[in-house]
Amino acid sequence: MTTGPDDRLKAAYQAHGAARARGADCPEPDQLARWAGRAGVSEQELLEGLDHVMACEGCRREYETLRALAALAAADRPARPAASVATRWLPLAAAVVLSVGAIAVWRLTSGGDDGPVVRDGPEAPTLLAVTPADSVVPAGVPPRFEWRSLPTAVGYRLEVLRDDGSAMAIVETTDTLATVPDSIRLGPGRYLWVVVATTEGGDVHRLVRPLVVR
Amino acid sequence: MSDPVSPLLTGLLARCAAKIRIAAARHGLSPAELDEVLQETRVRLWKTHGAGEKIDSLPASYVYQTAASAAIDLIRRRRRSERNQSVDELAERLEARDDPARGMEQRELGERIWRAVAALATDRRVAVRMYLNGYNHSEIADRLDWTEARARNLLYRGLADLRAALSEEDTG
Repeated sequence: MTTGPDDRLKAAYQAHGAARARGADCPEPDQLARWAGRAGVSEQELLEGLDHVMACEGCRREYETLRALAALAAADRPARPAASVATRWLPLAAAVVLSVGAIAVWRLTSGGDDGPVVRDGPEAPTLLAVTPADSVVPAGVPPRFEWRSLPTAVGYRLEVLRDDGSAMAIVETTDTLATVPDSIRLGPGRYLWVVVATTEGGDVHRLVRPLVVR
Repeated sequence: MSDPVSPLLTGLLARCAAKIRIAAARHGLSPAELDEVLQETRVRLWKTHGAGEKIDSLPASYVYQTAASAAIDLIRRRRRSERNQSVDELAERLEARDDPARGMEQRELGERIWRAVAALATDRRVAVRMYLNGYNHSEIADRLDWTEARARNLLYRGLADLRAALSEEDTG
C-alpha cells in the first residue's frame, strides 16, 4: 500500500478532531439537512456551516448521512425542463408557471378539494389549518401559521418544506400558532407547510398544506 | 380485516431500501439505527398516504425524502441520548478515542495543524478541512457547489498557507 504526501498531516488532523467532544455550538439536524440539500443556501452560509461540520466528527457523520439521502432524492426526482428554463430567464413568466404548477400539484395531492388537507386517515379529522387561509403570502412578510387545536395533542411540530421536499424550517411548539425564525427567509416560490401533532398516546397526526410566496 | 396498504408499502420500501441502506451505512448509521429509519419511514408513509392514496405510484424520491426526514429525527434522539450520558461515560468514550499509543509528538502536531487551519481564510479553510478529512477535489466541489477547478485552486492555496504556517512555527 502506498502512502500519500499528506497522510501524516491527515492522520494527525483526524486524530485530534476525533478527540473533540460535541459542543453547544453544534447545529441542529434540520440545519445540517439544509446544508446537505443546499437549495436556497447562500455560499457564505454554506461555508460557515461546513467550517463547523468539517471540524466536528459527530456533525460530519450526520451531515454525510443526510447528504447521501438528499442526493438519492435529487437523483431520482424527475426533471422539469420547462420550469427550470423559465425560472432562469424569465422571472415574470416563472411566477405564472409556478402558480399554475402549484395549483396542479395541489389538485393532484388533494384530489381537487380546496379545503384543508388531512392525510392521517379517518381517525384524525380535527387537525385543521386556520392561516394562511388562501395559501398565498407576500414575500418579505414572515407568514404566520395557525391551526386548530387537536384536543389530545401534547405538542406540535411545524415543518416548512421547499418544493423539492427538503426542510426549510422546523419549529417545535405546544401552541397552535408559529412563525419561522427571522433568520430564515422564504423567497418567492412554492412550499409545503406541515403540522405534525403528537398525542399523549404517542399517535401522530399530520396536516399538509401548500404555501406560495409571491 | 386485511390491510391492502401494507403489501404496497412493503413493495415500495423494498424498491428503495437497498439504496437507503448503502447511503446511510456508509456514513455511520448502525444497522439498528438504519432499521429504525426504515421503520419510521414506513410509518410516515402509511400515516401520510395510508388513506387510499396510490402508495405504489409514489416516486422513489419521495421515499428518500421521507427517509431523510426520519433520519433527522433519529439524529435528534441520538443527540439527546448522548447528552444524557454521564460525565464518566463521556470521559471514557473520549479516552477510548484517544489512542494511548499516539505519541506526544503526534498530539502536538495535531494541535498545531488545527491552530494553523483555524487561521486560514474561510473558503480555503473549509477546503483544507475537507481534504484533511479525506475528501478529494471532486467531493469538495460537490459539497460546496463549486467547480472542480475552483475547489482545486482554493485547496492548493490553502495547503500552501498551511504548510507555510507550520514551517514558520518550526523555524520561528
